[in-house]
Amino acid sequence: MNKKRILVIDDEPGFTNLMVKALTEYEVCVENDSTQALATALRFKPDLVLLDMVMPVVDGGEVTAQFLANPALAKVPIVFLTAIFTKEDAASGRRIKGYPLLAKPTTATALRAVIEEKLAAGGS
Amino acid sequence: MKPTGPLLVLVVEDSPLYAEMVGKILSRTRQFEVKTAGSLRAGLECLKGGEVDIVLLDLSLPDSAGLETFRHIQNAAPQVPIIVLTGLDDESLATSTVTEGAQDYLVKGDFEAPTLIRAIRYAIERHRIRRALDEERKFTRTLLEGIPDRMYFKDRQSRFVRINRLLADVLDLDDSTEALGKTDFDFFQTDHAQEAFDEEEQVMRTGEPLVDKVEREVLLNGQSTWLLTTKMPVRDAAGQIVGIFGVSRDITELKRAEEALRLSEKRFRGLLERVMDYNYTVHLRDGQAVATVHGEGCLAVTGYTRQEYEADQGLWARMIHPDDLPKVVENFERLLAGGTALPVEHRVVHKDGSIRWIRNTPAPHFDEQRRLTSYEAVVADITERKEAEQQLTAANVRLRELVAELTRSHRGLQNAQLELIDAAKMQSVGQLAAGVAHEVKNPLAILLLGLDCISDHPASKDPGLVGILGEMQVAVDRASTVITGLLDFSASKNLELNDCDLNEIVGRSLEYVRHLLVQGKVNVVRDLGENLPRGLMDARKIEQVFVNLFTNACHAMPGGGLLTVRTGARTLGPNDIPREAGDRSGLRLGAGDEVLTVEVQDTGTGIPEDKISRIFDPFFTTKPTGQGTGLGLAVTRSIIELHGGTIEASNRPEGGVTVTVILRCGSL
Repeated sequence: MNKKRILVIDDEPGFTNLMVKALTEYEVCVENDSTQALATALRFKPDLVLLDMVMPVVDGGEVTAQFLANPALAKVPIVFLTAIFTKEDAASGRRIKGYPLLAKPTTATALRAVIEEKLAAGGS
Repeated sequence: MKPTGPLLVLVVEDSPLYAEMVGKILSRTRQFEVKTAGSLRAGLECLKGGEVDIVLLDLSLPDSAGLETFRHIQNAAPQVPIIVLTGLDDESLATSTVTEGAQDYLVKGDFEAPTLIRAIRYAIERHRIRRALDEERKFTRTLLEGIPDRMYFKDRQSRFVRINRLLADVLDLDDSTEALGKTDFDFFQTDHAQEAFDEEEQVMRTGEPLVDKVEREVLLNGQSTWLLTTKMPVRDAAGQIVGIFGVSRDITELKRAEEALRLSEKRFRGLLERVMDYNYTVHLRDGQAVATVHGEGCLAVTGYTRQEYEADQGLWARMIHPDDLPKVVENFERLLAGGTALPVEHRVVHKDGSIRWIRNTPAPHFDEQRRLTSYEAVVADITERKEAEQQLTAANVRLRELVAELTRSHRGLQNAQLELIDAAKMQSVGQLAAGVAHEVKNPLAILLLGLDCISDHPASKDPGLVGILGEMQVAVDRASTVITGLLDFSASKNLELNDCDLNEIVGRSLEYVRHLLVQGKVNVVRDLGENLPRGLMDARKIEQVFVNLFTNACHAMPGGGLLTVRTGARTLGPNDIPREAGDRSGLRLGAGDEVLTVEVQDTGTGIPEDKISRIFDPFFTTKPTGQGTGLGLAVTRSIIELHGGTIEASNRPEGGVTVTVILRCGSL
């Protein structure tokens, strides 16, 4: 069975490097330059995208818009990663454009839980 | 003249023989003592003693002759009567001496002793009478000329018989005798002359004097004089009225002064009427007003005429505004008691029904017993002034209201400004917090993920490393929690208000902290009011409030305890507004507001009293380092105030803390 393909778009190389090391059960592709996110995604064809919100030049919101506008990517599940996350966000289960949020910092366990949940939902 | 004893007769005769003969005649009677002088010089010498009663004088003397001799003697002793002795040839000379004042003359050789004695006696008597007459004349003259009044005698036909100097001057006569035979018609204008003539006619006919008549006479030249005149009849020895005597005193000056006084009073009255609008005089008897006289100005002020007031004496009292009657009566009674008369301002009802304001100032007049006999009241119409006053008062009230409104809106603006400042602060805190969160949490993310990776490494199973890795993980959590707290505090101020059930929110919030309650061995008592009114709130934010309160309660009871949550609804009373309640929000709660209340009680350690007022301040915490951000309750209060509610904390007497939240019912 082929590994699921996870695209991580985050401008923090230290974080993305560890993601690759932590999520060994997936085929992880990293893009630190959000301006290249669309091209990389079209090439990589991910099953799921982990998308940072706050990035220079093109932020997570804009990347999402580009994906949604592209038929090849519109249905790919996205999980937002954000450092700006309050207790209220947690209590309310805040979502951005209908996608779930995962607060930074996060453990590999929590990451896996969300990824599995989303992959299962997307697969059904 | 000596009253008793023999009379001293001085015989001035150059013939010793004749002198001796006269001496003998007189000495015989023992009534006379005789001295003789042979010359004028000797005679004058004898007169110096002043004791001579009569002089028998021969005009032909060695040192003087004729009339000259008589004149010398008469000048030397005018009080002494003189009988001239003369020869037969010289009788005409002797007659001249009588004209000049000699009492008599005797022709030498032509008289006998009795004739001489009788002549002497008569001469002395005549001289005495003449002197008395002279005295009387002098007295009359003094009277006529000395008294500064006009005096005159008139005959039966009212012709002047005699006038005094003063009258002569008035009539422009050089000599008072020029008036003799003339009448008033010669000097005065006909009207006055006729009137005086008729009066005098009546006085003379009836014999009744005319006393102190004030009259005005006008001279032919037009000059007029005021006089006080008395006229009385003059009678002859037989009692028949033969004329009149009149005295007139010039009272022109007095009259002029009187007139001036009258004019001055008239002018004063006119002035008063002009200044005071009008005045009236009240006459009293035994403390009762008996007559009131109103000035002309009454019509303009009250609409009633003088005649109307005269016809109806009760009109004035009825015209006073009923509300002002007591103070007018009070002033009158004070006046009656001899007290000070004060001006009274009161209303009267004008004839046309309108209300006029007047200022009524009484000026009382008292008799010797200090009883009020009358008073003048000067009345000024002050309606315009009063209306202006009332307008001013109204304007003042409006001004005060305006000022109050301005003060209110100013305070509102101040609050709004403070809120803006707060908002601006929060905005900058929010930006800072977001920046800090991004910059700190990303490294934390790396650390945490790094720890995860290391934990998978076989070397991490080393017992020494496990502890270190654990502590590192806790440290990352702590840092992350602080940043999250900061973000919470600066979170958006926008509320999403919905119609909510308070009890449901409380229930959900308890659900969120269930694991904490269980871990902390905290039992919960739910004392939730039934059928509570619903409230407009942002349910998420209110849940956050309760989660914070419940979490704090758990932390306050480290060994476990009891958490009581009580909800209810009531109406705020006037003294029920918590201090600083919603002070800076436009949604301030007030008496009469329907509110929802939530009390959260714990059985924990409580809060030191000196700190309890600060627990809602940002970054203030009582928890040990690393266990609290100091932002939880600040966020809580911020949310409650956004809802226009209040939150207060107090220590319970039996231990622990009660936090009371008050939220508004219904729509905002």
